[in-house]
Amino acid sequence: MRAARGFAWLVGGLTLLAAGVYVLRYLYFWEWHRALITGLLFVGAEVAVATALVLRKLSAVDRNPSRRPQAPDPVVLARIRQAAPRRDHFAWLTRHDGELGVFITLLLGGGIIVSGLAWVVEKVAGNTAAPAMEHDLASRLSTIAFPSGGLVPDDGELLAQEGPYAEDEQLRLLLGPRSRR
Amino acid sequence: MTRVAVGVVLVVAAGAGIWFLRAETMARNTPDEFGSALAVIVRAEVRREPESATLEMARALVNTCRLQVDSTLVQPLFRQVDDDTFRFVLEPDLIESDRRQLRGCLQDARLQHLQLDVLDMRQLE
Repeated sequence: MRAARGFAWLVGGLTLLAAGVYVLRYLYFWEWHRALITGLLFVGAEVAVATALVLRKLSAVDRNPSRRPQAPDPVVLARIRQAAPRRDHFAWLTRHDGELGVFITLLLGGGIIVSGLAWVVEKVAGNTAAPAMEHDLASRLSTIAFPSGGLVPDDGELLAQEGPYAEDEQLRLLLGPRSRR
Repeated sequence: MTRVAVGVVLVVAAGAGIWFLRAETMARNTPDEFGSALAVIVRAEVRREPESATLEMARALVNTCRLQVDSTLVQPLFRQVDDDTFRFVLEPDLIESDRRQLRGCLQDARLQHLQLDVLDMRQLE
């Protein structure tokens, strides 16, 4: 295990070194495409080696017994508890001169109430205005409706009324009221 | 203290390296030597391409690279010396840094499936 780890470090270090040297070499000889590819290899190796170093440091810290959490000192614990700040969950209700501690709360509460009122208004309007508007639209459409007595039919219309599709709803709409010459 | 010293050495080395690379890879404007010429011999190797495309690909790469060094390709003198070897002439001749740039451009993996190798590069007498 130790040998494998050492081998991995060796490979990582050599890759980093070789990639770095080749980047410089290719840059010097104006071989930009090769320099780019080798640069990518260098960055990859650098990230891998740096990550491995950080992980090794973290595991070393984790293994160090002096840094492991131990049972707390009761005196220290008592001091911490004594020094804890007093919690006052309704401090915003306390009256202070010149401060608007309740302002946000009022805004939030007011927003909820206004939203509720808006919902009621929208529902009432939907149930009253829509039928009235539909009624008004139907009244206005009556000006372009077929005359109740029907149009003066021509031969084609009369033929269509007697045809096999005369009872079709769409055709009946186009033909208007049944007429006779 | 040792760490600081090592850090300083590394920073100085990196700075010197960058300075050296900057000086060596900087494009230079030099007056042309009218009447001079540079003869270059290259070997071309193609992969997954028909042999007949070798000349065309080599010519394309040479044209791309000679633009980088601001030199003119003498078209009638681009000829095939051997199956995979070509010779061409550029006017005017190039200074050392431009020659290195031209060689790097030709030998770089710039054109897919084509690898050029510069065999010779010398001023034409």
